Amino acid sequence: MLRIKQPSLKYKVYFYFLFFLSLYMLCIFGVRKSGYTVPHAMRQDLLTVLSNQTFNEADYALIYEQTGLAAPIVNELKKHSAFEQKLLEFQENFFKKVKLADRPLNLVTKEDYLLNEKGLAYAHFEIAPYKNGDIFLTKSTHTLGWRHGHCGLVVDEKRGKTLEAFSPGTISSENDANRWRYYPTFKMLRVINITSEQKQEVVNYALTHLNGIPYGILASKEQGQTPQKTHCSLLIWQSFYYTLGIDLDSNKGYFVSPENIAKSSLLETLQFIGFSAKKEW
Amino acid sequence: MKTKSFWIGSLCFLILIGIFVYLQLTKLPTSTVLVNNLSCHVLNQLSLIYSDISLKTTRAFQYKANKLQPITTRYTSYGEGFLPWHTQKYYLNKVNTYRQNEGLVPFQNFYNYYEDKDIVILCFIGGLENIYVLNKQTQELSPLNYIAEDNLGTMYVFHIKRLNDSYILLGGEANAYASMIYEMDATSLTIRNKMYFKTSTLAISKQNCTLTAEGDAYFVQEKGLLLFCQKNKQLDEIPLSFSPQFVFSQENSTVAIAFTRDTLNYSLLDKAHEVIRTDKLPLPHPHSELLRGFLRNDKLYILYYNSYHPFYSNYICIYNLQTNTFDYCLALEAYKNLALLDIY
Repeated sequence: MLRIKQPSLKYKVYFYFLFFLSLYMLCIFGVRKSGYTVPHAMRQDLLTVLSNQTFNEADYALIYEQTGLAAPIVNELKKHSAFEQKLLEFQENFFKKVKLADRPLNLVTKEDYLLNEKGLAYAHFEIAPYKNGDIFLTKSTHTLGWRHGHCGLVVDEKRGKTLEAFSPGTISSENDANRWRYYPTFKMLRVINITSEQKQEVVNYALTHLNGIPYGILASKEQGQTPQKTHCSLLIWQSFYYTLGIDLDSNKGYFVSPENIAKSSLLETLQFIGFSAKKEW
Repeated sequence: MKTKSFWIGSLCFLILIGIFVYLQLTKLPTSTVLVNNLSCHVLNQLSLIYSDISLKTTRAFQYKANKLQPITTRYTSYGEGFLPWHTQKYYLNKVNTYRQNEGLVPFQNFYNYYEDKDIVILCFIGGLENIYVLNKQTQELSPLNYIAEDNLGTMYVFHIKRLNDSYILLGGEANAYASMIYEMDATSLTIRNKMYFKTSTLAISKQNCTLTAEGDAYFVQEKGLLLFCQKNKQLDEIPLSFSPQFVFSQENSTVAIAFTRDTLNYSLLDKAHEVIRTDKLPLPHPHSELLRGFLRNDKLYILYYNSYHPFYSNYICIYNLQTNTFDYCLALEAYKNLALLDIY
């Protein structure tokens, strides 16, 4: 009679080790592939469109797919004398070939950055004019194969500061907005249909209630007006929810992530780079 | 026999790894002196701080006698610069212990700090309530003494200067193109005077303004400088032939500078706020950008960053503004994946 021999413990260990290693490598590959999305459109000459006195919907759509800038930003930039030059610079950065790398933030989390010819991280784009209450978002951070991203709230448009909750073990704090230029992927989002005064109310609340509080990845949404803990996307959610009652969590779940914020229908994209023009995340 | 070979092989492997790690850790940035017209031909002691983008990994070096030597102390960042990590940790713990006792939330890091032989002033983003003074003799931490009306609002403290028996604090108001200047009694830490005024949209960060040894403040603006004179508490405008981007002061002089693709334009001012020279000097390489600048012993030190040169990422240049000469240039290649962010 044929007896089937059971695999020994040693082979079982080898098998599970290889299985989980393969799974991890697949996650890493997936994470690396989604690290930067090149523009889907071919580069086009914008000078003819940019020299128009006014723009129609088709012009704005073209500028958006060629520079990553939405109509409100284009209108803001049009007030400046070097408008055409500025837009062409945005287009140049938008279509530039990039080389991605990552570095550890802690034991499990990594942050992507772009390498120049000398192998150094560099700021690869200009941030378009922003206002208090705007949301900066990136998907350039990942943990064990999960590309969770990071976000921050603009709290000082004049001196260029964002309020952010970075990572476990830190306390939320103000940071230089220019730092966002080093992320390979970037989105500037704005809540639609609220006034400047309302946005300032959000910023004032964030600076008084959400500045200097500990990071908590499992921090709950149900902490009330004076949260004890926060994390990057929860900070955004808390800022708008506890001042204006606006819920920016697109899936209304227990946990709000930067992806949940990016997919909110209450936000409009003002600028993007490294993201797909057709997808929120 | 097999076991013995395994252990010898492992030991050799570990030794090789150890040698590799040692070489990596002790590797120095590659530097070349491109210009040296210093009278003594030796650059005085200068410290260089390298860091990654997150400001968590830092490496410090000392440049002495034309050689780079590693500084073993680990440096950590605060808002406007870098400090030895144990100093930063000590000061931060002092403040957070005080705040904990007062029922206040702890701080992540201070924005700016000042130190002399008597005190350390620690400034956090906020109003006067977020400034603390550490007495170096007693190691006692104290907040400032002021009445509510004196507290002009949230600011980023850019500069602090000792002026006789008081300290002058210059801050940029948060969310505004405006500045606050406070005069604080050195002994009682009481706010004696305060001033608030609008500044140009160009004067948004620390290197866009300066405090002189007399407590006067300069701010960059279109085609000139805005001057606040400490003596008469008046504002004045100093017209220049260019729009300055940066302004620095030391004991007897102030320099306002602006860059074009190839040149450094500057105006040198004396203690009496008179422009004594306006001229140009060359850059080490076209498209060099200023990272850090200061005046020291009548010379202008600038740390540049350049992404265009095939080899050199940074330049440390010394200009003699009295003789209008480009005295020294040290070019540095990229160092691992760290950026040269500060010199002092």
